[in-house]
Amino acid sequence: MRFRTRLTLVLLTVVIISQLATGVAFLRATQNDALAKGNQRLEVGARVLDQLLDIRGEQLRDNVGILAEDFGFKSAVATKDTGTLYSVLANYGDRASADMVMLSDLDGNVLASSHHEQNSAMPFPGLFQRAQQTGSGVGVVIDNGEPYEFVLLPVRAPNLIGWVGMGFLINESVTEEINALTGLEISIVTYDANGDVNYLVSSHQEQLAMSLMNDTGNRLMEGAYTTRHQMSLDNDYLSYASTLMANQEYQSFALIQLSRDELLSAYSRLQWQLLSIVALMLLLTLAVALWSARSISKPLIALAQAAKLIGQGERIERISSGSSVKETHQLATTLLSMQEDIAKREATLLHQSRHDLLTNLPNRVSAFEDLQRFIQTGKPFTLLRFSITDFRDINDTFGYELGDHLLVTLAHRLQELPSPVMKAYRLDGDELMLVIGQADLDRRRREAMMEQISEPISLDKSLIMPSLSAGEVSYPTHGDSAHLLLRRSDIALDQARRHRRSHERYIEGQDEQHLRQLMLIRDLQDAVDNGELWMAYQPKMDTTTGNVCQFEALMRWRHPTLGFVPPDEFIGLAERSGNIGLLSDWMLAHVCEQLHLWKCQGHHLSVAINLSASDVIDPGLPMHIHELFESYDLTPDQLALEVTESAVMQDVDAATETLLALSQMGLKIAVDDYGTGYSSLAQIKRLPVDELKIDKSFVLKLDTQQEDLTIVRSTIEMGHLLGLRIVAEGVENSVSADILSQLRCDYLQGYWISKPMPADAITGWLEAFQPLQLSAASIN
Amino acid sequence: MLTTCKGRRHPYSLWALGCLAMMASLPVQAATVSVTDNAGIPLENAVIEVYYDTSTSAETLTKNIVQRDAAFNPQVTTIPTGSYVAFPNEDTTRHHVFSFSPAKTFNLELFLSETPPPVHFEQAGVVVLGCNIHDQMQAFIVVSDAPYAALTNSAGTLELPELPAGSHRMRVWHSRMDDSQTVWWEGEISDADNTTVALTLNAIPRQPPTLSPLQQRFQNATTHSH
Repeated sequence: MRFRTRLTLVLLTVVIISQLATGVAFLRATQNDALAKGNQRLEVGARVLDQLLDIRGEQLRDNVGILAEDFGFKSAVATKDTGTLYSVLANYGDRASADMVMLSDLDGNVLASSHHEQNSAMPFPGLFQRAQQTGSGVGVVIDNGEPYEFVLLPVRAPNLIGWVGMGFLINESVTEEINALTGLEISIVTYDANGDVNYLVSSHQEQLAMSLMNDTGNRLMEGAYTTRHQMSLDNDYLSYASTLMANQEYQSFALIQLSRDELLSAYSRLQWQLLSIVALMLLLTLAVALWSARSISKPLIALAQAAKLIGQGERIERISSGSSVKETHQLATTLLSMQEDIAKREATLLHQSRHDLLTNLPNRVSAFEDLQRFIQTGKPFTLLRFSITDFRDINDTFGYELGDHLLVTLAHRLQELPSPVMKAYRLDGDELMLVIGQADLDRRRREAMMEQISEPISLDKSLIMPSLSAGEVSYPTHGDSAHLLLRRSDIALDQARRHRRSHERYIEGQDEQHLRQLMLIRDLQDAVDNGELWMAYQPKMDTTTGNVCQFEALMRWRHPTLGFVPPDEFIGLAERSGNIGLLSDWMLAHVCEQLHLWKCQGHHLSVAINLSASDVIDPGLPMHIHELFESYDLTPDQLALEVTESAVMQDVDAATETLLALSQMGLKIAVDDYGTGYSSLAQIKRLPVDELKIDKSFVLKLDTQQEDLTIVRSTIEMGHLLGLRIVAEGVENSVSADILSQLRCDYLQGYWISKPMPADAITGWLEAFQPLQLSAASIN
Repeated sequence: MLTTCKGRRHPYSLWALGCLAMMASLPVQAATVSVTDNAGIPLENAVIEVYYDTSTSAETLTKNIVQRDAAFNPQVTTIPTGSYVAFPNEDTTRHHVFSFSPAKTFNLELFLSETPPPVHFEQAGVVVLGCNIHDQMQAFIVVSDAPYAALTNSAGTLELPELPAGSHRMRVWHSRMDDSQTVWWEGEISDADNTTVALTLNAIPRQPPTLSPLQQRFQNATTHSH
């Protein structure tokens, strides 16, 4: 509901209710007052009537009294001569202006009467009784339906000799007099037993009086108006009745009436006045309500629109209107200040979303946007992306608070750098970035800059030298999009970190290599399921017999799109991405199954497999292998293990434990790639190692490189002294084979013997194999 | 118009008869009659008639009813039939004595000191006297055929003379018994009977004579003139 409608309705309701209540109360009071006054007038009228009748009665009685005392009258009565009585009564009745004359004997029997039969019983027994008791009777009687004021007096001569009565019809003279005195309408009416009007005189017009009396007859006879004033049925008159006389045959009333119109004329005038005042008030209220609602709703609408605009993000300087009403003005002010608050908060949020909370440097999002903007300008620039070397260790050692301090200090320094450094960002935990407005950063300048940044920082009262790695990319040389530049800077930084250098500039193709690695890591998981992996087997030859003694199982992966993937590449990726366990499991199961197959074909072969670093420290590995042996019916001599030194070195204790268990199972363990890693003999001494595999890098050019020969020779001698057997891999020609044989190397492996072969080629190759002949010439 | 004993008197008649039967053997002596109203208040000026067989009828009399101080004196007079009553006026005002009673209707118009000739009452009955000038003046003359008729005294009693033995008819009248003045109490009495008669007074009581302001003035005027 609109505010205007609502306010209007409320105001109108209030006004209507109050006006109605007041009006009704006032009118009712006025009406009651008018009625009360009318009632008073009627009562006064009734009293006047009573008084009038009393006075008349008194006068009549006096008149009749004089007559009754008249000696002549008495003389005539005493004669009891009917004729005389008649003429006497007529004569004296006329003198008193009576309408009825009657003489009765002492018992009330009519002796002579103008209206009654001679010797009939007393027609007014009630009055007669009263007269007998009190000596005179005055009252209203009804004779033949007509009401008379009747006086009944004794005739004494001097003893009581009879009763003389005279009646005076209650006629127009009475009603006219009452009407003249009181202004009230008065009717004298007599009803017979049937309720019909028998006699009627009235100050009303004749016809009106007749109809009125006909209508009110029943109610009158029920006593309706005699106890209190009442409106007559048609509501035209306020009526008050007083019973003049009632007997079994007739009832006579004086009905005093006051016209309702006359009574309520003032009242109805007042009613109309009040009604018009109410109407006027309503109109006025309506106008005021509309005006008032408008004056409130108009600024409210303006406020609502302003709020909507603010919500849509528009900025409003001032809100028009609403200044007239204090509250809306206040609301407008509040809205404006709210707008300011929102703007401030938005700015804060925006800043926070684009800045690092700790260092207050712009963050990666800002960097991205800024780069896009810089690219749009087309001017060349360089990105220098830093990471703090071993930041994690710093945090662990000194606590995060000091780590943060380090970051803040570095950030501060980056911001302080002079042009052409344009802007500094914090991209990630320990990664910071500079945008430098130059296509190429000359080395000197760069080193000076990094030196400046890496100055010692006082951390917890001790000086620390922050060591930074930096990756550098240039626009447009290394990419023309922010994405590309950021990724390539990351690759460059990664390169620097991996090689523990302070700086690395992006080299073309690194990105592609990076992408290839990502793809390989992703696809490696599916390779097992899709059957893209297979095993190749390369034989090892026993130099003493020239026979094949063992095969090394090598994993191969033919990628559906990239083709053959070198094992060094994908195994390294698998180790880095944590998928190496998957490959190991597959390989173990596959090799054991293959051994079983070969066994079924009648070849009891031995295979060496390579264990990764995670395999070596897996305490469940011995049990796993044991289960495989059980299920494929293999013997321990059929499986040998090769581990690299670096794999063992990652967790020497766990690896030692696992290897010991495997060794106790009867498996032979070889150290792979011996000579390239730490080559810690102390470690090897502690390990349950059976063989050393001299890395092929020493073997490949054994025939030409004297140093290699020396290393190999001494390694073989040392191994033998330690009770280890020596395997040389990478044997590619007979010269090298001969040399190794002469050096008493135990086993040879390499292209000279055979390339790695698929499993199904092994049996055929073995059948065709002739033991190789080695010259045992000594080497000096 | 004489009215004989009415039905409602019977209880008294029976009671009287019973008394007679009981006392028949007692020696003859004079009886006393007491007259009261129903409430037992003695009634003065009640007329008691006793009828008995006698050879001589009552002797006719001439009596005076004096008008003094605007009143008849005595109020009640009983006379044998055929007697005369004179109306001497001792007041200084004139009186107009009249009667419309059936027993004797007469009219003695305004007279002062010259007493009109006595009026002869030859018919038995109650004659009510009035004065046309003084409405309050009223007197009764009971004209009686009975051999014995007399009035009760102020104590309401009347001592009867010696009567012949036996039971006799007795009538009692009092002015307040009935307005028509024709109603009598009827009963029996023996010579030795002491009897009390209770009368029912039906007459409308007369207003006590009060002087209207006019009468007062006139009276004062006459008093002063003496």
